[in-house]
Amino acid sequence: VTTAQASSRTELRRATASSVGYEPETFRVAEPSLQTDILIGNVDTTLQQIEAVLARLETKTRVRGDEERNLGLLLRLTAAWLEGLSSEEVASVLGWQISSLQRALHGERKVQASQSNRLILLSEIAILLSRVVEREAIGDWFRTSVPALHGLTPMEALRRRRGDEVRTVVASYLEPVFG
Amino acid sequence: MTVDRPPASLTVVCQVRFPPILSLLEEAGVAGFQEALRRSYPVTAVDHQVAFAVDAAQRQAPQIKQQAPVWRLQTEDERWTVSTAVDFIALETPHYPEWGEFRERLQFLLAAADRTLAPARSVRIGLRKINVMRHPEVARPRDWGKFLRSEVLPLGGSELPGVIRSCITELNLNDDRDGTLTIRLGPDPEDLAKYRVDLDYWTERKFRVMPDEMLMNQLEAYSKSMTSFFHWSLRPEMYKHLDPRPRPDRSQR
Repeated sequence: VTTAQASSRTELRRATASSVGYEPETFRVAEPSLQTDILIGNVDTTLQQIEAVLARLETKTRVRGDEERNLGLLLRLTAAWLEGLSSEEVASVLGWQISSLQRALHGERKVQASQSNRLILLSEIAILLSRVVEREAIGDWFRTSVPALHGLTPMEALRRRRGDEVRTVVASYLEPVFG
Repeated sequence: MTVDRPPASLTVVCQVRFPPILSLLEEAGVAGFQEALRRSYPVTAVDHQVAFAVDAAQRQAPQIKQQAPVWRLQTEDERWTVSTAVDFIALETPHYPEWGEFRERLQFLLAAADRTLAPARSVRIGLRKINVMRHPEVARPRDWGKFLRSEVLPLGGSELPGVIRSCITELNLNDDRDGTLTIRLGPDPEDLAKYRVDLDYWTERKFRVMPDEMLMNQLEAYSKSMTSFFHWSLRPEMYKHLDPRPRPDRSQR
């Protein structure tokens, strides 16, 4: 028996990532109504995908397996976006054990319903955060004490199940008065 | 003093192998890893290896076996390639600049892998440098005697009654820390006027697959050892031809 190998390049595509970089100065806008449009100009394909998956999860599809697949995808995309965090820190902000994160990323275990709320909350925080913090600075932001969190770092607050407060703080950065 | 100018071409590959991650068989499983790297490596492709098993005696119909896909991500200029499959990640460039840039890209890759794939500890790490040299005075393999040490030439550079058609010497050296340096030497099979010094330094010692100092320092030590061996293999005439000069200090840029 002889064996020959052939390689077929079945897929080749060019990503459509935007070249538009985020500039904090764009926050100084006079009309709050314009703010959203300007912020959307800061296109990040990872965030677009996170938003798309969140929208799919909101529709609460009844197709068997869809929700599990979407949660798995949401986990991977959110982890991808959390630049500067290690896998242990990603597990920490999710309130999971590292072994749970590994099994979920490896496809050995589905994201449990009890875990999905914190995952969705973290991805929502990621979307808000993308409008105020450059991607390269995300890791530092999670590890920096925030007065509005009573001196806790966002990572500590998330670990203590105070994710709603973190989301409120990040959302407050987007208030026009903040600029 | 280091050789800053590549000899003719210098391809460098770093590969980290880990226990299989079956989710990497599917596009959804690689989505996070791809997204983490997309801004730096926007060109993506997937290679499906297909194996055909043919029974020479024709007792059985040919069998086709699909193997695990290899996902490839490239920079826009295609000078850098990241690849991953169920049990490895790798960084490769056929245009090696210097260790500093390679290290930075490797750290970024390992951080992305840790965060989006969370592999278990490595089962093998390796750094490979493939030097292919040429010299204007070399037209055939025996001409390399003037430019390379005899120890790295076929049969020690002995005069042979014929023309060398092919010759690859392979040597495996174990160090005292579970590392192995595999040295493959010989005329380049694609062009016998060129000489190939293919160095592969690897270990099965387990490392966390993340950009921590332990792993990065080990790889840097391998890189330096291979560079030292390469310099040692050159005769002064070849060394001069390569025009060695100090590498720029990246911290001064």
